[in-house]
Amino acid sequence: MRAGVQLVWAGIAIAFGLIVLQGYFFDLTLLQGLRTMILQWAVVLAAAALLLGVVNLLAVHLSKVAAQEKGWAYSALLIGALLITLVVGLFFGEESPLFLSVFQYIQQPVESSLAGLLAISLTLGAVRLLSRQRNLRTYVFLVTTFIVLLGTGPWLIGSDGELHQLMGEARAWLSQVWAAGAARGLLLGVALGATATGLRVLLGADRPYGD
Amino acid sequence: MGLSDLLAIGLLIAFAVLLIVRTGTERRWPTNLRSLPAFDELRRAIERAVESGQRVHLSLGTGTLIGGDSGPALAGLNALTQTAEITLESDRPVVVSSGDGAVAAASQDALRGTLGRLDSSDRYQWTNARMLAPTPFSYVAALPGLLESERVSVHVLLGHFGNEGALAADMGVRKRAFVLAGSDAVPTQALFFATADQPLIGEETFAAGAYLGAGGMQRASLRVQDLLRLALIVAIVVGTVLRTLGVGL
Amino acid sequence: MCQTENPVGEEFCRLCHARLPAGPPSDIPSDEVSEEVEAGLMPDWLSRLRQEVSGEPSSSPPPSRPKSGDELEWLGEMPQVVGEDKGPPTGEVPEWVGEAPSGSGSEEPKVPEWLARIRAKAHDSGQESGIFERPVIPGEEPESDRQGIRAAPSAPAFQAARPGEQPEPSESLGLPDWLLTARPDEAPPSSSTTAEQERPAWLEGVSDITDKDLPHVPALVFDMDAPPEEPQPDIDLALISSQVPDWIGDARPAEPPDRPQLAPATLPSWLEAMRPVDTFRSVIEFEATEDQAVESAGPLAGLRGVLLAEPVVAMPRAPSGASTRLDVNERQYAQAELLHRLIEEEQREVRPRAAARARPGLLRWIVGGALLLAAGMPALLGVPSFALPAFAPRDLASLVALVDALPTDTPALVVFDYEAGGTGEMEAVAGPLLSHLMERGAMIATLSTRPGGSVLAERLMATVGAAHNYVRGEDFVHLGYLPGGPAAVQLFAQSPSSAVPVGFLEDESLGSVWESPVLQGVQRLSDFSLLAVITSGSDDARVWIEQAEPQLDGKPLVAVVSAGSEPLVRPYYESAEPKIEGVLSGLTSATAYEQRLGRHGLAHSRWSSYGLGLLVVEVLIALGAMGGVTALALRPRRS
Repeated sequence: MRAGVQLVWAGIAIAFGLIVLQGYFFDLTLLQGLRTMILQWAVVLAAAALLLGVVNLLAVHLSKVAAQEKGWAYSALLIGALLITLVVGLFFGEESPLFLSVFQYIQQPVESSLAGLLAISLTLGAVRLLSRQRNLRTYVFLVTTFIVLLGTGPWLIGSDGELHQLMGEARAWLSQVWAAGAARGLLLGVALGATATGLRVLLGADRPYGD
Repeated sequence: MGLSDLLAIGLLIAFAVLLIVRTGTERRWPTNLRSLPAFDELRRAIERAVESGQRVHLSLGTGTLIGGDSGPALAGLNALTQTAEITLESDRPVVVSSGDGAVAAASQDALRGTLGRLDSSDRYQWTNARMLAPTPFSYVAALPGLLESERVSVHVLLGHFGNEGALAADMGVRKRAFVLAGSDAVPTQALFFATADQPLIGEETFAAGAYLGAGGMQRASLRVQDLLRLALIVAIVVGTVLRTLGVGL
Repeated sequence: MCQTENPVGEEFCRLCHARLPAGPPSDIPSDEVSEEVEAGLMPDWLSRLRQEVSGEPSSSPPPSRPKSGDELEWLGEMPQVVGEDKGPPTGEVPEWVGEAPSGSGSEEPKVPEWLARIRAKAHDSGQESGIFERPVIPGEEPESDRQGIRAAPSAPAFQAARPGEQPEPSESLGLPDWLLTARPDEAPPSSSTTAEQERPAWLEGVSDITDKDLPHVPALVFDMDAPPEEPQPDIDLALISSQVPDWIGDARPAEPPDRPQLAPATLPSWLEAMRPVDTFRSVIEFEATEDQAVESAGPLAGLRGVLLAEPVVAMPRAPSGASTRLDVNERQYAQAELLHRLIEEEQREVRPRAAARARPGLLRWIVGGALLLAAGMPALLGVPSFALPAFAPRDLASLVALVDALPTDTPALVVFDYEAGGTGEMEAVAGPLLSHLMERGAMIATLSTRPGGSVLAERLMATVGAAHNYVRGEDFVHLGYLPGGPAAVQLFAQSPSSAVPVGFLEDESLGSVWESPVLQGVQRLSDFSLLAVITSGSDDARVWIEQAEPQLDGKPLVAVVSAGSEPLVRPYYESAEPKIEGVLSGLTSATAYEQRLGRHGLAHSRWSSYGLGLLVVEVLIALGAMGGVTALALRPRRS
C-alpha cells in the first residue's frame, strides 16, 4: 500500500516535471497553457510554503520561550516583532507609510549592517588565510586579491599614474580572462550537476518530496 | 523550434539514457569516486560529533524550490538524507535549516521519510527542520542563535547562497565548528574559499549525496557528468579552433 | 602413599585409601630400615611386600580394587632420589628404562647391577615369577596361566631390550592390564613351567655379582607355598628410584661383565610428565613420620607430613614441555600488519584545529575598528580625500550614448533585483543611470522578482527623483513583485500585463497600473525602450538576459551589477553576438558616470571612504600574509 502511494507521488512529480520541461521546447498551445497553469500553481504553493515556514519559525521560538531556554529573550523579541509587523501590515496595509517605514528604517539598515559585517569577515578571512592553510592555491588567491584591490579602487597618491593604469589593466585582464574563463567552466559544471539532479527527480530516483 | 532547442532536447535525452544505462551497469562496474578531502573530513567530523554528543547542522541555503536555485536545494536534500542516516545513532540528530518555506517543508519531509525508513520515526522532531528567515541576510542573522542553542560542531552549507554565504560560514568558524560550504553561485564559492574550512568548488555541491553514500544512480550520474563534461570540452576546443580559422557556425 | 598419619589399627588410609601396612617390617635390619627411612624411600608397597616375604600375617583386608584413574597412582608416588650416588641426575634415564623399542635392536639396554642381582637371586631361588619376571625369549609366548605381575610384551618403554617389537598404544601408558590391576599382596600362582628357565643373555654374568653396595630388594613372593626368602641386607633400597615391574626383565641382552657402574634409575621424562600433579619434582627428602612437623593451623591442623605451601609454591618448577617460541605463519603476519596499519591510520587522523595564537575576538575588533575608521573619517572629517578617477571605463561611453539615444515617449523598464543588504553599493552604482534617465525625461517602470525589491525601488526612485522632480504615478510607476523565478520572467516577457496585473503603490484614482500614462501603449516587453537590470548577483542578470532578451526585439538591455558580478556578466557584453548593450559595475564606473553627468551623487560621496577602506584592507591582508609567512619560517621544522 505504501509502495503504491509512493509510486503515485512519484508519477505526479514526473508528469508535471515533463510537462513544464516540454513547454520550454515545444510551442504547442495546449502544452504552453498547461505549463503556465502549473507554474502558477507552483507560485501559489511557494507562497503557501512561505506561510508554513513562518508558522514553523513562530512555533520554534514559542517553544524556546516556553521552555526558557538559553537566549529565550531574543526569541521573545522575534515573536514580538513578527506580530507587530503582521498587525501593522494587516491593519494598515503593506503599502502604508507605517509599514514601509518599518522596512526602510529597521530591516534595510539591519541588513545593510550585516553586509558591512560581511566586509569585516571577508577581510578577516583573508588576513588569516595564510595562517590557516599554506598551499599554492592560497598564495595565488592572495596575490590575485592584491592585484584586483590595487586595480579597482583609487590610490592615495593619485590615480593618474601609469602604475595605476597598469594595475587597472592587470585587474581587467585577470577578471575578464582568468576569472571569467574559470567561472564559465565552473558554471558549465554546475549546470551539468543541476541537470543531473533534475533528471534524477524526473526519473524518480530522487524523491525530495518524501516518501 | 530552433536548432538550439533541438540540441538541448538531444542533450537531455542523451543524458537521461546514459544515466539509466550507467545506473544499470553500476553494480558490475562500480564508479570509483576520486577522493575529495572535503567529504573525507566531513565524515570524520560527523563521526566525532556523533561520538561527542554534539550536533550536525545542515543549511540548505536561501534559494527556492522553483527556479534556477532549486538544483543546489535538491542536492542539499540528498545530503540531508545521508546525513540523517549517519547521525541516527547520535543523541542529537541532524538539524536542518533553510531560508525558504518550500525548502523547509521538503526538508521536513525528507527527514521524516528517512527516519521512517530506518524504523526510527519516534526520533523525528518537527523542530529539527525549520525555516530561519525568509530573506538571505535575515537568515544569516538567525544562524548564531541556532548554532549556539543546538551545540553545533559540524556546520554544513549545501545550497544556494549569495554573498551572505560568507557570513554564514564565518559564523560557523567563530563557533569553532567544522565548516563545509558549497553553493552553485561562483562568486560565493570564492568567498567560501576564504572563510570555510572546506569549500566545495564547482559542482562538488551536487556530488555530496554520492560521497555521503547515496545509491548507485547518484554515483552513476557523476560518471555521466564527467562524460558530458569531456564532450563539452571537446566541443569548446573544436569550436574555438574553427572560429580561429574563420569558420563560422 | 600420602604419608598421612592414620590411627593405629586402620587398614586403609583415610586420605588416599591406600592399604596401610600391618606393622613395621621386622625382618629388615634396623640399620637398613633407618637407611631407608633416612633416604625417605620406603614406599608402602615395598613395606607390604616385605611383610609378605617375611610371612607376617596381615590383618588388613585386601585393598580394594584400584579405581579407574588410581591405577597409575603408584607411579606418582615414587620418590625421587636425590644425591650424587643416589641415582642418575634429573632427566637422565637409564637406557634400559627410557628407550622405546626402535626395532633396530642395535643398542644393548644396560641393566643396573642391583637389578641384575635381584633377578639373579630370584632366578636362583627358583621363583618363576618375582619382581622381575623371567625374560621372555623372542618367540616365546607368555604363559597364560600366570598371574600377578607378568611380562608385558606390549609395554613400550620398558621393553627396550626387545628389538623389532613396536610398542602397543595403550591408554594406560602402555602398561599391561595385569600391572594396572595387580595386587601387591596377591601372589601369583606358581608356575607349572619349568623351574629352570633359560637365562637371557643379558643376565649372563650378573649372577656372580656380590657387591655389597648393590641395593638389596626382597623378591616379590608370588608362591605362598614357597618359603619366604630372607631379605638380603646388602641391597640399598635407597637406590631404587622406581618400581620396576618384573616384566622389565624381558629380553634384556646380557650385560657385559665389565659394565660400568650406572647411576641409579630415575623416572624417565615421559613418566615424569605423566604425573597427575603439576610438573613438580619434589626435591624435598621425606622425613620420618616422627620427625615430621605437626601442622598447627588450618584444616590440616594436627597432621604430620603436611606439604608446606611456601616451599612448594616457591619451588622452581620444571619448564613445561610446551614450546615458548611463537610460530607465525604468513597469513597471521599479514593480519598483524593490517592491524598495525589500521591503528596507525587512526593515529594519523586530522586533529581538530587548535586555537589561534591571537584571540579571534581581538583581531576581529581590530579589523572592524580599522574599517570603521576608514569608512567614517572621510565621511565625517573629509580627510583623507582621494582624487576622482581620471580615466573613465571603456564601456561607459557606449552606455552614455545609448541612454542619450533613448526615445522618451516609451517607458524604460528598470528591474530592482537586489536585497536590502545590497543597497549600500547598488544605490550608489544605479543612481547615475537613473539620474541620467530622469535627466532625459524618460518614464520609468520598476519591477522586482524579490518581495522587498519594490520597496527598495521606491526608496531609490524617491531619492534620485527628488532632484528631478519625478512624481510617482506620472513619471514612474511600480509594477511590483513578480513571483516565480525564471519561468515568471519568461511569462512576463511574453505578456507583462498578465504576469503582473497589480502594481505597487498604485494611484487609486488612476485604477490599474497598466492604465497609468506611464505604461500607455505597453503590451509586450519590446514596447519598453530599455530594459535595465539592477542586481547584486550574477544569477539574476543571467536569468533576465537568457529569458527576456529574446523577447526584446532589438531593444537594449543594460546590466547594472556589483563589482563582484562583473566577470560573469561581461561575457554577455563582449561576445561576438552581445546580449547586453551596456554594463555598469562598481563604484569606480558609477563615479566616472557621475563625473560625466556633472552631478555629485552617492558615488561621489562614498569615493574617499571607498578608497581608504580598500587601502586599509590591502594593508591588513599584507600584514596577515607577512605574519603567516613569518610564522611558517619561525616554526621549528618537523623531522
